[in-house]
Amino acid sequence: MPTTTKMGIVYPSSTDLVKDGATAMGTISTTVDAKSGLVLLETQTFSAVSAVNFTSKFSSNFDNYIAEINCTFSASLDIYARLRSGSTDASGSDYVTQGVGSNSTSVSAGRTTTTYWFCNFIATGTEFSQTWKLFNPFKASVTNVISNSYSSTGATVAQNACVQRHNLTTSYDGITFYPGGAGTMTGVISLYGINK
Amino acid sequence: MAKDKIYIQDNNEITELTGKEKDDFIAERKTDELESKARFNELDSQKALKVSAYKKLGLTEEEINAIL
Repeated sequence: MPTTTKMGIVYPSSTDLVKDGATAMGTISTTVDAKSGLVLLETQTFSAVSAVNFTSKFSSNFDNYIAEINCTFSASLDIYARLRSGSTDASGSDYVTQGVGSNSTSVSAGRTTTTYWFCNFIATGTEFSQTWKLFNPFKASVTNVISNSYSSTGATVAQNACVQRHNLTTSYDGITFYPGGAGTMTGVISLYGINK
Repeated sequence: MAKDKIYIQDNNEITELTGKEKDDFIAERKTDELESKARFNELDSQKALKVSAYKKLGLTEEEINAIL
């Protein structure tokens, strides 16, 4: 049978017998499952909500995950995040964030241990585009994160690059993102599993 | 959605928080906001200290801005 050039996915040739079709479809499906780089677990589109939860999304199928965030806030705030077990947030003071931010010529850096992660050491914002790469949240080990943030109030554009750690060696199966204050968020967040 | 209502989206399902759950959520967000402000105030204080130190060293405002 022929294979695709880039991913090497086997597919039936036009001369194959119809009776071999089911087997060929099975081969294609398992190959795509194994070779896809990112697997979309869920996209949530939301409007004027106070938190967006991804519940029971992490599993042993993946070690690492990517969250892509595009949203606006009703007030100038930060995006915060917490890991979850089932429908319960992990709310202990176990979230370490180290980062550096820039806003025009101002540069600021810091490290904070508190009850949530964030990616902002320079200025709050009302518009956010962020990427969070999570390492091993489902394993019974510490969870590490690399995150990058674009934020803006319209008049300003700020950048932040952060690394985060959750100190407990606990398995988590979800994550929640929310505005760090009295405000709501509107936008889209997609969560992907990185194939291994 | 009404401003006095708190909505949470969980796996694409929206629920409204009510009662104690809503009160606890609002209280926690207020704490978060205060903590965020304190964090930025501390960063501003650190910057002010640096500016003061650079001024004592005789640097101009332009030179200090270039460093910071």
